[in-house]
Amino acid sequence: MQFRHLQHYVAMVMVSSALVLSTIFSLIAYQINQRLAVEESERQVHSLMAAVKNTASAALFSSNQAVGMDAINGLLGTDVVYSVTLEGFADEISQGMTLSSVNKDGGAPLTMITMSLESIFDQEHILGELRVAPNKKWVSQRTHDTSIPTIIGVIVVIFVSCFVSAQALKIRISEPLVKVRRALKDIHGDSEERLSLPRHLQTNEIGVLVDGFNELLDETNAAFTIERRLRSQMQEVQQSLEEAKAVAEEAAQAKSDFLATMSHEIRTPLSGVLGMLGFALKDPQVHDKTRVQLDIAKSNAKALLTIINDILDFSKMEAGKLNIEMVDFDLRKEISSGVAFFEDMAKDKSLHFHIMFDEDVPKYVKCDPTRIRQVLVNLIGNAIKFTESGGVDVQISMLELSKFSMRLSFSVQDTGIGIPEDGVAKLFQKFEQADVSTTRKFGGTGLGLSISKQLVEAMYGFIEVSSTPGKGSNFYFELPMGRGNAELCETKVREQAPHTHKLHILCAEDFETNQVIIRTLLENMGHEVEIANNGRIALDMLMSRPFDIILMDGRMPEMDGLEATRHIRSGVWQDQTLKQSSIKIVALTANVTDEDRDRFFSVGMNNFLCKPINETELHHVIEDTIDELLAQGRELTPLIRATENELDSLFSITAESIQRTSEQTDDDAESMEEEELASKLRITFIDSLPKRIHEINQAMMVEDYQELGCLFHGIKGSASYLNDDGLVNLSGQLELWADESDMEKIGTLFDELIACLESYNEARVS
Amino acid sequence: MNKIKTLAILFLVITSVETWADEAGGTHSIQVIVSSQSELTSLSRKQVMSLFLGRARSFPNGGVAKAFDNEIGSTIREQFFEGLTGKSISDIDAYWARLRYSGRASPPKVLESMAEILKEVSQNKSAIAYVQEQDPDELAQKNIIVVHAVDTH
Repeated sequence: MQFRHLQHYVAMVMVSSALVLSTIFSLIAYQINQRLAVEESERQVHSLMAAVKNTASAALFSSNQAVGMDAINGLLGTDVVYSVTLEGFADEISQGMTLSSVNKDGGAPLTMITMSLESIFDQEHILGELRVAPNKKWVSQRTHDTSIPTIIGVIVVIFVSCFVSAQALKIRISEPLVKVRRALKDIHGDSEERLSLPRHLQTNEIGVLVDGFNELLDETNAAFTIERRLRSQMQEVQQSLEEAKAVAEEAAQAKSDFLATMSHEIRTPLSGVLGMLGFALKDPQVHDKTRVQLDIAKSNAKALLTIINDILDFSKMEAGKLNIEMVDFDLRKEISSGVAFFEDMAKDKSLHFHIMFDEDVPKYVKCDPTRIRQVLVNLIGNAIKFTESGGVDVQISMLELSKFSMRLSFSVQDTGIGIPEDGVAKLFQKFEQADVSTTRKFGGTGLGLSISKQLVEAMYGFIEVSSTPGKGSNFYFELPMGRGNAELCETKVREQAPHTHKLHILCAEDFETNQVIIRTLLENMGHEVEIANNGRIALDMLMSRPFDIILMDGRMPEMDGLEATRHIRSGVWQDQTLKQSSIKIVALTANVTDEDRDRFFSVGMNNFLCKPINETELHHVIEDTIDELLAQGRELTPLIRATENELDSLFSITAESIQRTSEQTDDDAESMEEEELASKLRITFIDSLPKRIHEINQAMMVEDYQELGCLFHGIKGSASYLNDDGLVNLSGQLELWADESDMEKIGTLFDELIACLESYNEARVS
Repeated sequence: MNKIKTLAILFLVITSVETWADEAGGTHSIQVIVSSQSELTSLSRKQVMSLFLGRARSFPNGGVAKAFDNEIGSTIREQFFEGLTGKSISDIDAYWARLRYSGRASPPKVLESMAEILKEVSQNKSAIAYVQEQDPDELAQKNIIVVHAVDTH
């Protein structure tokens, strides 16, 4: 049995012992009473016998049976006698007689008591004897009667003493223990409290137990202290680790940022170099010798650009900002044109170069053409670089084809120097080439393969290499692709046909330079343009007359493009109904991150154009708008279709220049057009300079960061049209700091900006 | 008849006083007497006791025995039984009372005078009685013999 409380256990023990004791004592008491009853019966029988002795004696003396019976019946008249026998002995005078009788109320005999009867007149003369058996029934009754009070008494005494003992135990032992138990509940390992006991329990086993427990508490206390100390130490360690981690992450971020900034910074002047070389090469008066030198310079500059692009990609990958597109495109066309320039390189080294598509490779696929081209350019470039004789073979094969997807393999096999076995493993790591001597001999950043690997993996493919030193290498990668949609591929290449209808265009743009650029571009396309200096003015103009489309700068003083768009879409302006609330709005912005894009679309803009404005993109946007409006049933003024010659004259392109520039890339053609535009814009920009410098100085004085931001932004926009990348970066950086309201940083570059602007001013004066 | 009765009582008183005066002078004995026809010569004390206390109803020789007693309360009766049994007369009376209680006791028949006792014994061979010491010759004349003597003090 198990007890929750010691008291109950004690009570149980007490009750059971009381029961056992009561039983034993009751039995003993019964036995004693029985013996006493027997004795009593004998005593009574004796006295009864003594009482009838004379009568019985007389009866025997006179042989008188009647008297004898009288005596017998007298004895049997009491309950204590069971049976009586009166026997007279025969002698010379009497023949003797025997009288016997039993108690009519029943019972059972006990040991017979015999009394000899002598003559009354002569003690020597034994006449006979009287034999009486006491009645067992009487004894039982007697025992019973005397035992009940005895047993009750015994039980009462035992129970009372047990109860008293239990109470004593409870008060002296159990209750102090209960108190200890309660105290135990309140004491936790960390507590300073100790258990205490009443004096009489301190020296016995319970005292020892409590002492032991107190010692245990001491030990746990000590353990807790140690644990606390360890924990705080651990926290310190953790904290310092976290700090170290933060520092490391910051350093990594700084490195990525640095790489991105550096590559951007380097790329800007480099594109200037490339552009200038392009212009120089276009000049028909350049000597042939100089042209060769310029060509070499240009290809070197392009190589440098590739390296810088690699670094930029690499830093993007580090920052996890590399995006993979999924577009439909013509695989053969894309790859063939993308790597075509290697044919010349191979020819220069007397190598053969072949691209082979297996017949079952589909024409159209869905993947990221830019990245595939990038990987192939990288691998083929390496292959040609490291091959002195023989050649390079590129093989594209189909591995799997299902209804929606496929798996293609790309293999670039060369007959070059090969890669030693131990170099293969390091090949795809960053900044690694097969060995240091390679770097010395062939140059290269060592980033190419690492980027290729990451790009392939980002497209859910894998890349591997097998190589025999001295015989050649085979770079092999597999990519999953979607099945391309032929129509999407075709429409992607859009012809830049002249616009069919004339649009009434509202342009919200605060800076004059940009105003001029957009106005010029749009008017050249044949459209009517009205300029608003900020969002508020744009809204007022929209209220007064109808427009077909709005080009909205994101950042403007008074009311920016986002807020203006919100008002237009709400359909209410200054408590009046705005009718053209569903007009198409295209954002003009210098910053196009995903966040910016989401912000534009979330307020209800329909599209966006990046600054500096690309004419082609602008053309397409306007063309789409015309188509949409016509589809809606709007009546638009038709434009007279200009002939190709007219267009050419419009952009100052002579037949000769077309012929000459046919070998140039599109970039060159674009930069030439921009250059023409820029010269027009340059004058406008220079004219506005004194006013701007004045405004900037004023804003600096009052520390109006918002105004400063707008001013720097405006300069950045203008500078980008002027191809002045130095000024773009300078003003861009200042704009960023103005947004952060950091006057200290602005101060560091401010003088440089003013100097730069002044130089324009001086150039005009000169 | 009344006159005779009164005279008899008077006689008895006188004789009693005389007897008392005689006994006071020295040791006497009480004699147990039977008829000479009983063919007895003597009886032991035990035999005498059995006959007078109702234990025996015949003589040792087989003849029927019938005991006769003196008057209740008489001196001779007290002396006789005390001398015979060693018990007081009240014990003897208690004995008889016990027996009589059951209603079937037969104590000896009481004869009112010595003359009647002598007459009865002389005439009845079953009779046995006790008298003050007598002259043996006188008794012999009356056909009476002494079979036992009880000393009195």
